[in-house]
Amino acid sequence: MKDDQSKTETRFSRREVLGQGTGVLALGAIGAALALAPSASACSSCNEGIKKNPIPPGSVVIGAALHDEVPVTHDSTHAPSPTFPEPPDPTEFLTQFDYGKVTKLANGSVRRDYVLVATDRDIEVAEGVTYPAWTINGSVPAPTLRATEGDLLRIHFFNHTVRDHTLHFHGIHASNMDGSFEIVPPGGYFVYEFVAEPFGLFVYHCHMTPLRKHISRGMYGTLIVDPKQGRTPAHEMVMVMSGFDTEMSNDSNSFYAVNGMAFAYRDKPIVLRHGEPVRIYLTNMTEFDLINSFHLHGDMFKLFRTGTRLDNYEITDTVMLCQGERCVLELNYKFAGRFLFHAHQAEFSERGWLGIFDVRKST
Amino acid sequence: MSPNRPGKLGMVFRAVAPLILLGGLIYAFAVRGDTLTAPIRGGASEIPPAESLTFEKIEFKPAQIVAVVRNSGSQTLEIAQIHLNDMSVKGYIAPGTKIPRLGQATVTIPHDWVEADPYEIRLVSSIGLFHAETVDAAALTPVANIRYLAVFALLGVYVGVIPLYLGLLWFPFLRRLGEGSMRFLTAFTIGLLVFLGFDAVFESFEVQHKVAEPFKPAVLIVLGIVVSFLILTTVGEWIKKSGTKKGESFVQLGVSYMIAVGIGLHNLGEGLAIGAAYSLGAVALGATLIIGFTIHNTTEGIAVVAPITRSGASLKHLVALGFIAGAPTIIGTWIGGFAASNLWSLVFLSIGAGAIFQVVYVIVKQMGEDSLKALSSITGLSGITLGLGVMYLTGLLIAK
Repeated sequence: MKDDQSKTETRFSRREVLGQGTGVLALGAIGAALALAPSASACSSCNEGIKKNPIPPGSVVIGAALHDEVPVTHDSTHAPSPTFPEPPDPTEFLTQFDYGKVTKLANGSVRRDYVLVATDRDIEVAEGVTYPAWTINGSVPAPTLRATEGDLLRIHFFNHTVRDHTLHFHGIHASNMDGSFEIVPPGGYFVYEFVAEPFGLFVYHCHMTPLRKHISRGMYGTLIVDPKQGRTPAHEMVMVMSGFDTEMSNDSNSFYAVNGMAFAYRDKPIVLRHGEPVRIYLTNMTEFDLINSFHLHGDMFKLFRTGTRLDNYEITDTVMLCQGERCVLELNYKFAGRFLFHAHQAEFSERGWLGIFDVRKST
Repeated sequence: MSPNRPGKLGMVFRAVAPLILLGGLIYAFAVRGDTLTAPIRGGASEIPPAESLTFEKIEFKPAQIVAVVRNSGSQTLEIAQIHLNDMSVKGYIAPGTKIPRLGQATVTIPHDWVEADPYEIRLVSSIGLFHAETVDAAALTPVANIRYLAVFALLGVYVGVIPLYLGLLWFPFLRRLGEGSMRFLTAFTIGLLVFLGFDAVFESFEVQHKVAEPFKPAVLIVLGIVVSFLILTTVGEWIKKSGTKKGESFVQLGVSYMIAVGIGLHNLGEGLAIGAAYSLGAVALGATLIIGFTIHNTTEGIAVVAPITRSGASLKHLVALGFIAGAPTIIGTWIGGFAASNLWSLVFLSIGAGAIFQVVYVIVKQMGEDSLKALSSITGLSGITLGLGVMYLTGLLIAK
């Protein structure tokens, strides 16, 4: 099942341009005969080939691969329906948390079932720029999963694409739940099961090789594990820093963004109520660039690295995160008004990673 | 004072003696080379070999990328690792990791490649040097079967054969032109041909960089141009000689056939390029490109029939002329599509260039003693300029 809803239908992806070229050729010039030729659509037999391709005769092996393993598919007889809601826009994404389908277990603990579907989708990553993303539930970043420390998590992963994928969660779990060796084939289904521990802020992403491509194309998201006693009340939001290599250069980003859209919160500032505490779950899933950062204007924040401690923090206005690193920020603006927040690498902020907090006095 | 003429045996000895000495010298260098060349190397025992590896072909198969490489360096080259898009991957190499000088190897990389994405294949040699080639947009490489042969044949018909016959349809019109118009038409033809000739030369310059250096591609271009020019000149002289017996019209028809052969060779090169580009996914063959080739190649038809507008020709000859000039496109697309070889593209392109320049030479010569004067007249100048201009403008339509 391919999800081809494009937000900007007037624009073409590379694939479409190639496809169109062949289409026009068939219509305009060569006619019916060319229609017999294979179309330039996605190579659906690719995955068949990778398993069936024998070693070419007379060849010598060079190198080794991480994913020589046979793909794994779980029995999907009792699987939940692989459906997902329409992806949120950047403003909705900030505060949209997926708590999963909750089941009370006999021992008093809680089981949460989440449904994540790998699906290809063209998304708008900057104004007017379409990117052929590999998504989870049609959304880049993927849905923010949320649970409480000690909950049993079941992540039902469906691969509705034409290539192998896996899900790899940061945190504590069994070896066969790590998503590094168990590759899920097209049409496959896999259940990741582990206990949410410790509390803190985690990321999850596809771990199929080439990793650079599978991550930068959009298969990453956030897992928040709340402490049992909870955190102090606050206006909470998630921010996933990432980049988009729309040029397919494989070595650099063309655009930078939080929550999947360059300049999303510059063009539509995040409204805060003056006096209300704010908590930001900040993760860095940027590929190619070694680090990313968050800088707050006009105030300072409490920094909880990885969110795994409630007492140990630093007060600062800038934090630097390595690829895959994350932290929890708590702030409370002293003054009302419009304040910038952005990466403190100017080349990132000027190419999309820049937003505005609009702190309003309550009337 | 002339030396005495030696006997038969003496002649053989005189011919062979230098060869024997040369053989001895080669043997000495082969066996004791290190010692003999030591003074030249200034005592340094090891000069790092300059490695060179040329990618001759990259094919995208279902879940596989296949690269054919040739060792274009001076020493045996050993492949140690494969990097795909800057990532170390597992792959296969046949016949082995050690590629002798000018030897070929086939590297197969199992990979679930993504259509339209760029791919860089990098082979790391045993001394850690990188040899890389990039494909801008991956596309499934067609395999040779009846269906694809038919597709390529139709492609050739559309861009080569049909336009040429369309151009030939002007024949009845051209026949009724007066003296001045004929001079203009001749100049126009020269313009068309000069453009095509330079086009072929520059295209072969472009291909040159993709041919392994030891094959001396630059020399091959010169050879192709010079040899085809000389051969066609000889053919032309023969036609002329026969023509004195068979009359003027025979000579004119001969010139037409020579133009057809020249353009045919050019179209063979063009077909190679189209076929190769199509199978490499380098061009999206949209309607614009087809229209461009159609208009561009229609002008070639005019060039073919220009010499026989006076003398006339039977329908049989017109059909044959169009076939000779246009049909090679089909063969070109076949070869280019399934056995894309930069070396052969270069050879055909340069032969075509030589042939076209030779035809220009023949046409100018035919204009008689005052050919230079005729060409530098307003009629001649405007004809040549218009010929070049038409080719330039229609060429814009097929710009890649």
